[in-house]
Amino acid sequence: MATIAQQLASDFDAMIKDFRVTVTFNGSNYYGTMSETTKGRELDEGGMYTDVDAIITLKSGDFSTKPKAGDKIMLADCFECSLRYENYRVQSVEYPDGVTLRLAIIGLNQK
Amino acid sequence: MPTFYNDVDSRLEAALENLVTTQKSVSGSNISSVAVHTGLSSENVPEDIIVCFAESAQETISGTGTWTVSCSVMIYSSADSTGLATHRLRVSEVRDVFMDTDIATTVNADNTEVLTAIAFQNFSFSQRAEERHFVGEITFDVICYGSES
Repeated sequence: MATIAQQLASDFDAMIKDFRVTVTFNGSNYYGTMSETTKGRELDEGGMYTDVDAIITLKSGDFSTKPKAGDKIMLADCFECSLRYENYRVQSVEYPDGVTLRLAIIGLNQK
Repeated sequence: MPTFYNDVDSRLEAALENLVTTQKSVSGSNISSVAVHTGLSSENVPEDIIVCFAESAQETISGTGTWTVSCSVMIYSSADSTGLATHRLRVSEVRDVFMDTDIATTVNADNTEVLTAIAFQNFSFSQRAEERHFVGEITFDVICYGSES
């Protein structure tokens, strides 16, 4: 009989199959899902600051070194082409269970 | 007698941007890879940036067309990507560009901006951390007038 953790992992695999995003971190690709995303451009002294807010959920066990706040990631693939191939800053990392981790990402120069 | 106002703030911003851009090309510069923007800009801002901002202008003596312009040069370095040591070197380098006894002469020699600088004065420095960036700010006043052409 599957443990709860195994069941969670299996359910998450099914979600990734249907709603996959690919994150590049430290030169390796990781697969997960992404929340709805808001992208804006805020005008301030110096010009336009990219304003992005999203949550990416990834499998914790895929990482030998887990991302931490301040790290940079790239979205290699996701449902919105205007977000692809851009670098983002990890603002925070949440560990909701033993299976997944959630990265809150923002633009690199977000104010 | 200089023309009244004559767009001194935007001309001065551009002249300050030119000074920093020139410094970028100096061999061994710590700011060679850093983008430089004027304070009012519609360009996209990269991770690290130097912003040259002419914040306000006050006529030095009424009716003369000579202005005291309050300026800030802000150096933003990502705490995550760039680090503090490099940031400090950048601030030091930019500070030396402006705290030069010949700075007014250098600005006046810039043929791309029609502006005559009389003096740079009242320098001050500040630093802060803002949204995962180290920020160094150099503020000063420039007494200047916009030339006729």
